Amino acid sequence: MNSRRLAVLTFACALPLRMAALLLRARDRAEWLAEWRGELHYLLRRRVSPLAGFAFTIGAIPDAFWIRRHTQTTQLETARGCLVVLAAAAALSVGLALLVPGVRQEMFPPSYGGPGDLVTVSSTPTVLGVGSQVSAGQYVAWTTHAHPSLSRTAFYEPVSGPVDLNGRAETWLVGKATASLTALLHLSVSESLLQECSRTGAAPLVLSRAVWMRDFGGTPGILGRSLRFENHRATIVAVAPPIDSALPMPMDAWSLETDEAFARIAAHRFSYGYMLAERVPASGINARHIGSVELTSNDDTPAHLYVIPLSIFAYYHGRTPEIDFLLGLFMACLVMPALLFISLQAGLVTERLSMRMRTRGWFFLVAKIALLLPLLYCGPLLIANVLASAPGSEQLIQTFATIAGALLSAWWLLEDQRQRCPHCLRKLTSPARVGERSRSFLGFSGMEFVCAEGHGLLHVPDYPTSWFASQRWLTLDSSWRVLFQAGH
Amino acid sequence: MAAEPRLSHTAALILQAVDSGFIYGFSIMEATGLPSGTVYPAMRRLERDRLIGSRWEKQAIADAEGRPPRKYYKVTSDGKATLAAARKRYPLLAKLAPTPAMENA
Repeated sequence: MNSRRLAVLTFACALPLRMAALLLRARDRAEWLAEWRGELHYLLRRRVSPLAGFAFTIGAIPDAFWIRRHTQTTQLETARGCLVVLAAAAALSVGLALLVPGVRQEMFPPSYGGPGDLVTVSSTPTVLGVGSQVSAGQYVAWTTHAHPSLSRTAFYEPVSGPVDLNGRAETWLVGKATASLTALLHLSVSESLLQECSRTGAAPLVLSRAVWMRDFGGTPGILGRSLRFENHRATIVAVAPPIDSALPMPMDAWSLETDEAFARIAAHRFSYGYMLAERVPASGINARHIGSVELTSNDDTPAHLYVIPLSIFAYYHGRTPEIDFLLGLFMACLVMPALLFISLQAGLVTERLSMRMRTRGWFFLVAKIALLLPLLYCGPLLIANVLASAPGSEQLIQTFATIAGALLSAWWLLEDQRQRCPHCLRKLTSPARVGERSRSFLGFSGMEFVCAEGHGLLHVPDYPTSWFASQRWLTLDSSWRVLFQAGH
Repeated sequence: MAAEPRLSHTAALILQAVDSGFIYGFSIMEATGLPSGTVYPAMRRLERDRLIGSRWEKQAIADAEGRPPRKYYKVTSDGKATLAAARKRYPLLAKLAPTPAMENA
């Protein structure tokens, strides 16, 4: 074996050793590594095959596990270690949630970014479904006379159709809109682009912010690009402000229709869509609440209508993960007594303990709950983000994941708290079966755990007997300490 | 009198190998035919139960020969008593773990 091959083989075989060494305490690691490296040195100089060398070092993993299991107390065994591990898990989940864009957006939804005075005008005061739709004919009739409360108006009729994005076919929901939409949304559209559209016969298209980000990657040079919608040429002339969630029905884009084209739409009896308007700030229309306005039709008949600020739609359409989280916790609380009935019956160790110890135990329990809450909030959010396939399924997944997580956490909290020494809050160790095997129930009467610090014994009955009906803590006085010091 | 710890066949074989003069991990693997993942954890157990002891080779000796130092194992007096009991329990133990002299022959 030449020296280069030997060096490569040594390096490759040392990798599992280094990884296995991470299982050990830092103070045990150096000596353990020195022994395995020394053995590896001799093995490789025996001109063994690379496979044999690798198989030898793989054996280091069970060895490291054995040492870890028998010499190292896990972080969760001490109260501080348990809190540190929980805090790290909570920080990790929060960090991941903040790093994943979809989850971050759900946690901190962007505030309504459109023009602040935009409202929808409807004959019904609803914010759900298509209830706020009006017909194009009504829009034309109501906007014949100007109204002092509404400065600008626009209308769009949602139309679903195929769009060709450089060979990639998709289906978009496009609003066939009046040309006044650009002024209403405060969009500056290049005159040259509009002239180019009228020259070529292409429909000027205003992209929604969501589609611009999703299908075009937020590219700034998108203006002027051509695509085909319903086999008609369209040219992108502007990108709308982030008002997607604030609209009664989110659109992928708006096609700006000419006056003649819109007159044809309005003439159609079944052309329904949404009427947007800009409220005059000095008018009596409130920017946060549904108000009413009386418009005069072209036949001079008054129409009593409702104005719904877009910020209200933004509130109702936005997902509220905190509500799903609270709902999940509430439902878990309803189920918890049934699932944890036996655990709750066993109770916690509280008898014959000083107030200071009891308080410390309760503080520890509260601290664990406090650290679990961020984990229970962010974990289901991440799961929902990964698993959700259909719109709206995130809420369901998050709620169910929260319920499952809360139940598991409650079970773990009770078990962990119960298996800790009430004096030092360390995990009790050395479980031992006690008593004679029962002839009736084919089981032992109970199990005993001991505190490694020698503070006491916990007897946990497997079934209630006249001897021990529930678990009992037996405090060992200082005379027992000598037995435990040797183990340290 | 304290009861002798009862060894598994594998542990007894390793203890026999150490007693026979195979005093470091790799030689024990060769003598017993057991893989490293079995031999080393078993030696840790034997050492924990004080049936074998270990010592590091002096660094100066290893340096002089241009190699890393080795960890050597030796059967303790408790280990010898346990091994004697294990030999009664496993009569073929000595044949399964040959001495280094037999190996070199």
